[in-house]
Amino acid sequence: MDGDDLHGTLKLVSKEGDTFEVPVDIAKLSNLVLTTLGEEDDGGNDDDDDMIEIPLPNVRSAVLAKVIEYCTHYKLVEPMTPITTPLKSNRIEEIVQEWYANFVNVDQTLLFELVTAANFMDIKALLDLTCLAVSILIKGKSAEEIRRIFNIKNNDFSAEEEIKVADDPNAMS
Amino acid sequence: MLSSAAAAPPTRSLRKRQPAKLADDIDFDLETLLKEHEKTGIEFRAKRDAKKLKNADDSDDDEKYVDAFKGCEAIPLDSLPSLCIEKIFSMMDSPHDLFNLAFSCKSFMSVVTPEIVIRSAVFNNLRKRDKGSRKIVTNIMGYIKNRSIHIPSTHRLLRLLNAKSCERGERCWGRNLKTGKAMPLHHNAYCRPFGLAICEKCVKFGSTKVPYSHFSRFQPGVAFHQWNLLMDPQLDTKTGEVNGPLLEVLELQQIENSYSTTDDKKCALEGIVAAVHTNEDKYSPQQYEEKAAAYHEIFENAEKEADDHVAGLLEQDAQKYRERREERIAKRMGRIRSIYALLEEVLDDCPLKDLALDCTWLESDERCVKFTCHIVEQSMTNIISAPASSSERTIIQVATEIKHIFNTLSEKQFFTFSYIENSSSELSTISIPSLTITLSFDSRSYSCMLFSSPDRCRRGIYEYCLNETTPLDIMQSSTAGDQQFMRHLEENKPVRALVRALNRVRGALPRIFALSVARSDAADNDADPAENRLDYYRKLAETVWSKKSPYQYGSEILSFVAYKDTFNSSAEEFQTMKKNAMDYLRDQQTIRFLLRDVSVAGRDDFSRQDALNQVFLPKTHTVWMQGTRTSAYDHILNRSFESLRNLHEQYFRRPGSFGVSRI
Repeated sequence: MDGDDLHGTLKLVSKEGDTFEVPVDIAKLSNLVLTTLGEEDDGGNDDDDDMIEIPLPNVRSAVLAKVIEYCTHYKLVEPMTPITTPLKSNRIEEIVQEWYANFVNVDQTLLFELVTAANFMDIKALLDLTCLAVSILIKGKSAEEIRRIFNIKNNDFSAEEEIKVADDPNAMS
Repeated sequence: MLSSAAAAPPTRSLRKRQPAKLADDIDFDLETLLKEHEKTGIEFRAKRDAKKLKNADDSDDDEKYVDAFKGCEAIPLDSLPSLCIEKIFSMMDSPHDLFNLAFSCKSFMSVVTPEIVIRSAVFNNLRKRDKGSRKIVTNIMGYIKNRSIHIPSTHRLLRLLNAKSCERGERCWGRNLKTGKAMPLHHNAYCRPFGLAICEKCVKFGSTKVPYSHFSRFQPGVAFHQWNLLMDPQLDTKTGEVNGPLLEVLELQQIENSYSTTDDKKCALEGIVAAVHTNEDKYSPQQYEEKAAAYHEIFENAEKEADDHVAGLLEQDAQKYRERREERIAKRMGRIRSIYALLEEVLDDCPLKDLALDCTWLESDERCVKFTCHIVEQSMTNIISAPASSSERTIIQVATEIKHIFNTLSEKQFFTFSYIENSSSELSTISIPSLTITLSFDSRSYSCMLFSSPDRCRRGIYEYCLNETTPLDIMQSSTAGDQQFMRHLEENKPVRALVRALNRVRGALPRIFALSVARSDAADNDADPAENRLDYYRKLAETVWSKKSPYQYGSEILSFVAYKDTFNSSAEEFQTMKKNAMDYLRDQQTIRFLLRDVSVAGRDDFSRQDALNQVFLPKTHTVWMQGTRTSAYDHILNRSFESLRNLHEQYFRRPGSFGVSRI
């Protein structure tokens, strides 16, 4: 791979096998892509005509499309305000720009898939944003509500322990 | 399946839902119908959720989204990668939410770290400045810093932060036997005594009070509450862990009884602390120290971050406020400048236009403008305070009133002051004994004091107005241009108007009096050096006026009659004071005082002559620790020269203590 390809495009292949052509500069927001490109470079890929394909077996097409949308906006329009603790507000709109707030204003399923995808593709800014969105969803909910809303089934508490947890913060040691 | 569905009647509930016309029509495929219904329902719900979550204009995306996630089951939160869970935990800035999340699933309990708990407590509600959790964690960290409690585990720390009732449970002194519940902690209790979540009754009845002189106070390893309360470590019956203080009260008391010297006691204490660490299964002394240091470091870093964050927020707020203020000022300034232009237009043909319009533009103040003339400022106050709501008609009306005042001042030639010399009728009762004036004063009192010298009072006013003040200064007076002032002017009594205005010019009336009674006439040029002190006598005159004036602090305005009375009585007293001061300075004892050669070590900037010169600025002092008052003024008036000399001797020795300086 020569230097020109770094400013060209590469292909991201989703779980379903759909291919997304993405400019390298944008895709490099993902550390996974960055590392793969580095490896390709070291491997001395001589076939210049072939565009690099990076398989993302954990990321579904719809999610990958959203991730690319995020990276494109981040690179071409405006980078996201870094998320730091202590958080500035309990409202996501006051922490990051409106576009990014709207970006994570999605269904819980998609949000969790975005978290997983951001983690898999190692996109720190997206991971921060999606984790922030999840933490804001969790705020103000009781343990029972968290279990019900977030579909937690592997709850290994015994019935006695559960009552204690729900009942009194002091009760359970 | 189809046939059975067709043959079997629908269930009771389904029958109920069928429209009446379909009740007889049994020739339909129920299964297909149900499938269709289910499909429509799924689509409808997916579409509804998508619409709820996305903007209305992204309808194409909605369709894609609905298609992509149709029939997809929600991912459980606990199946997210552990790194993501940790990140979500680290973003929880409320110990309560953290508690709920941590105890919602067993796998989450292992994710919580002391750092997450401490940071969430310190960062909690920073925006609302509610520092309840931070106070609690600070309290606990205080004990850990002193290495005086069993270091709480992460989960225990979380429970301590969220505790709502006494953790002693059945052993709680405030337990309600009817409900079986331990005593609730006060909602404002931001304190965790001895690192325990215990109620006030348990503190009261479960702790031991030791004297303030107890050797263990402020010693590392000893947990105190309210400076003199000690408590034994508490055993958690459920876990078998020991919580709270490291040491037993018994041990401390035994040390107190066994050793006589403090060093021995401290040595014994150190031994016991080390033994507690060694006996503990949880940690060795080194591990304890490392853990305590780690907790403390986390806490300090979190506190610093929180403080920086709050400072940043405050700075942002301040910056926003400054920007808004500047914007507001700029807007107001624009409006006020147009009002000023209108005022300028109305006053265009007024001879004293410049005086009326004299103002200071305040670029960084919301007032925007301050007119120098008080009457203009007062008239324009309402307009300037609300420039947007002031109509042109109102502005013109006020401008016309201002114009009338300044036109009258111009017509009466108020600022030429030539009318003062022709003011005999107005100043007819003013007299200065032994020196001057009056045209038709009370012959009974002052006939022997008549001189052919000019009217000094008039000359005093004239001299002051001409040399020591300006029309602008006079117009700054709050009484210049007011209703009474204008009435005097219209009744052709300009001196009365002037005196009324000068009432509110700082130091004007005492100065006029001084100029009137202490003049540099040829008659005063005596060979005696005590006589040749014009400026000094003027200071004395000002002091006399201030003493005699009925309104010491300028809260009231002297009427013209009161002014004349004050002038007469002050003039009389000034003559006495002047004569006495001269006599004092000529007195042999005073001359000896002056010539006495006693220097004060380390000070040569205040001479004996300087001390004597204070006779012209007599002060009143409160005697330290006695509360009595010594009045130099009274000493001069009563010719108590000895007392005065004593006072001047003290001035000479400690001028700073009396607040006197060179005249």
